[in-house]
Amino acid sequence: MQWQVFGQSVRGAAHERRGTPNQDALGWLPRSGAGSSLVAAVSDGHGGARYIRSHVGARLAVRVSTRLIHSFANRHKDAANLSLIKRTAEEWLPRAVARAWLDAVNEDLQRNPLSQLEAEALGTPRNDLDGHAIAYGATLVAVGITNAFVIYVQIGDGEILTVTDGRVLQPVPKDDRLVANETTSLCAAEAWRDFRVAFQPITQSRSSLILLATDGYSNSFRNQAGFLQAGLDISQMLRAEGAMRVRNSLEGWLRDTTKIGSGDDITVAILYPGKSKSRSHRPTSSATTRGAKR
Amino acid sequence: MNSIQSAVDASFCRRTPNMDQILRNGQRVQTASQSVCVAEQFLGGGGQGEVYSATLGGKAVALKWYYPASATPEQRKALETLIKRGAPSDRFLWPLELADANNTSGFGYIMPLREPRFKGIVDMMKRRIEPSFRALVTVGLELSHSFLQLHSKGLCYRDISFGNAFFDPATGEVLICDNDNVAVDNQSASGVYGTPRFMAPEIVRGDAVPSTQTDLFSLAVLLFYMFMMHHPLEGRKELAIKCLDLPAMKRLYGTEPLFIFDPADQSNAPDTQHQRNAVVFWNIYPEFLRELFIKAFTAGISDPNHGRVRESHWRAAMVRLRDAIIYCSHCNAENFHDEAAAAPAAVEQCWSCRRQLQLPPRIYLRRVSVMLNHDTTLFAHHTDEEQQYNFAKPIAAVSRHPRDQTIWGLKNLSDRTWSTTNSKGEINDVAPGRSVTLAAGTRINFGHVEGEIRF
Amino acid sequence: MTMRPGGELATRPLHFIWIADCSGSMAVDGKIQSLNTAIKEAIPHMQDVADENPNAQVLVRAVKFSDGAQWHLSQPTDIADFKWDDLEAGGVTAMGMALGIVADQLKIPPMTDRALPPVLVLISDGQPTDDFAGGLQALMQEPWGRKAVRIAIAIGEDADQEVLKKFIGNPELRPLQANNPEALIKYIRWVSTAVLKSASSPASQTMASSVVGLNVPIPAIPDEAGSAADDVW
Repeated sequence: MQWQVFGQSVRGAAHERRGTPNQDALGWLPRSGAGSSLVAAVSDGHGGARYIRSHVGARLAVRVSTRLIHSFANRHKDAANLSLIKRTAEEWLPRAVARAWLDAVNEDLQRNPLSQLEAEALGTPRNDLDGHAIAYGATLVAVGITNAFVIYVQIGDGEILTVTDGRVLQPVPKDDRLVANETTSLCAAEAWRDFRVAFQPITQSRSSLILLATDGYSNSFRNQAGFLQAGLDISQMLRAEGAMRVRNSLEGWLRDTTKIGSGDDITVAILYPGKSKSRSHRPTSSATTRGAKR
Repeated sequence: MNSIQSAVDASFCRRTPNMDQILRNGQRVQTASQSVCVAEQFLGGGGQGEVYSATLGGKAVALKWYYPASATPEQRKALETLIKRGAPSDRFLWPLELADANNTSGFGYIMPLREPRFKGIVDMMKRRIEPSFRALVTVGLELSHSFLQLHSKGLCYRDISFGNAFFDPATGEVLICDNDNVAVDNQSASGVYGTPRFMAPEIVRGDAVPSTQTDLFSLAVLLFYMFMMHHPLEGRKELAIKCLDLPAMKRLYGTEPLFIFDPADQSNAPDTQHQRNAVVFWNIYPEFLRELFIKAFTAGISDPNHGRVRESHWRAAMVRLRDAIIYCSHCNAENFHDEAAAAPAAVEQCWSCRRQLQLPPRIYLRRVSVMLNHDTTLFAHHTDEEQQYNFAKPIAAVSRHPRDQTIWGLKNLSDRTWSTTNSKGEINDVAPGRSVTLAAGTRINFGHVEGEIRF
Repeated sequence: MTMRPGGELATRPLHFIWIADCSGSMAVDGKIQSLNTAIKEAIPHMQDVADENPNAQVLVRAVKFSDGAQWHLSQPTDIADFKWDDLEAGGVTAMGMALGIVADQLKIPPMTDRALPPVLVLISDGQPTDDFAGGLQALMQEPWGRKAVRIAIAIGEDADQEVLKKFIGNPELRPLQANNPEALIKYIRWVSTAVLKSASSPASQTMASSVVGLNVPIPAIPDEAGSAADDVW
């Protein structure tokens, strides 16, 4: 069974007005965006004034998580013991991802220490290196698929929905603490505790669509049902008009959505089953580099 | 439906139903006694099967149904044995009856529904609930006690983890679930179920089958994890693993297990940045608890048959821990008084606010000091060696003088009179319902045992 | 381009609620008239702020309290359509009941979880005469009550600072002391512009940061108009 992924990230209408960069990030493995085992991730760097490097934090989150989850999925994809994989995913992945992110952040800080201005914005002393990771704070929404199972990994706000047999579902349990723009984060101490992981063995039907989105997208709809409807509509469009059509329309939709809706950065990744039709496998342009300028 | 809904909301996160579910909502299944059970709502799924809320004869129950791969004749037989033996105590959520369905392959079983007041240890790990140390110690006590009862019945676990253990954060009362993997001691084929993280190393290596001895290791891991918020074998060596696959797990938990606080070998010590919990919590508890953990993960690893800590030792340690709790007079955080601390006169610091801890009055009973906090209660086992632990029935409680709040006392809640002698040698009787003033040197004779108040 | 997927798009609601003291003492020295003027003066400025942030839909309401508490403007009104009916003073100070009324409206529903943190502005010149603690507790029991930006303006020296501090619930933010009409206008303007602007921007904060500080960063408070201290209430 082959899967494919594509996605888009647009800078928020409010960010455009203020001149702040796109703080979201998006990425997948394998880089071709196609394979029998596939991982995709989106991340939303926090917008508050102290999170001066959150666009970098988001990029790092996508990079470390896709690598880790891809490696994990591949190493375990033939294992017969689903309980083992599920438990390991739930117990080990959050710690591994949180640690890898912190290590990546520290590495970035080593190469580029905070400037005086940045330290002031952050509000921690320039020599308090432990506190500097906060500047990179970001959320993470990721999925890994193999022939035998699907793993969803999430920390912070953002949404995952799936469409299976014509019904929209949300596999990751809601975290009731995420209200009023407050979010759990990779930069919090003991971040592994705030992760939510869902594991689904693929038994009977397969999903026809898995959609990852940062909260700028769902916050643009009048209500949650409107957001879930988008999943259904996209899955129908993929079937009726083909992936290329959806791929080409996505950016325009997201631009309109941020303008009329939340004003926030919006990033969406769309995963669907199917063989790659294009002769040469190229990642969609600018997907991983948009908004990464410092 | 409200109680069912609240069972679903048992943790802070609500689940949406899985389209792939094996049983339909409303599907009827047959129990072994020919009753009809109706599956109502999907509650959750694991690696082996799915759990539904259901009704049986008008009562709310839970129904577990196995995935085809797990619905084996061996599993069925194992369930029959468990059902026949019955639960070791009311702390176990136990299979009640087998269930079959006409139009669905495989089988399942009925069990009681878990009440919403029970939260998973997983919820604690994930910061959804923050139980007090007192509640935690009670959980440790009940877990040890439950393991002892399970083993006394000739049963053992094949797969225990904190996914099985639930507790009421208000009281510490424990509920052990997912008992369909309980096996008869030493009789089941080995085979890895779930993760090796809680399994004795000899099982991970494939050298042994599950037994009460291997369970002792799992109990130690569970307790360590609860108190230290960290796994006993996951130090620097775990950090070095880039992808936790089966070979890596086998090494870490099976062939090269090394305690992170092994006094003889620090090569697996916790990393201070990524594994801080272990370091922070290790120092909060008294020496006697640390020593017990060291034994559990040194001798307990090298000598599986004789080196492990027994359930009754853990149980006694939990009781002692409970009696050692004191409150910081500045920030109110619970701390533990360590009697055996190197210099008795050494200043104990609150782990939370770092200010000096003041010891409350204590009563020296049966060679141990029991701290007398504003909320301390004493039980039968404190004053009588022969008595079993019964935390439902206090025999004494710290009280305050009704007309002068500065005077503290110990109130007699038992049904026999105490005899007291104060430091001046004066003797008094304390009838049930009366209190004796807490003064240094006062001795209280409870009948079998005499305690001395110390300040 | 094919039709955009999903249901109706909408900007995020930002509820702005004035909670105004209309007790008898407010009739003395023209305080109530000053308040009415200050709020009316602020309207065009609020509309400007709202225009700059089209992705937040500013919805204004008001509660008045004296002998009891009622909605002065009960329907969340888009700032573009917001008109202020003058308040009249007379009676005692049922501040607790006022907070209870607000708490009721901050429940989910009618609030949704995609709203932006609401802004609550409490204005008072005296001491509550009812169960303030109960009202505040009801407010803080609601997640939206806790996450709201809570500002307090004390009019005159007799206002109960302690009670206002408790309402704000943040040691880093103090009640604004308005001792004359100019100060009142200045503070009302600040709340309805700088604070509104900050609350309108969809900037996420981690939970750790909100334990110490506010969900919404509060811009610097304007200097108190100490120099023109002639009109002291």
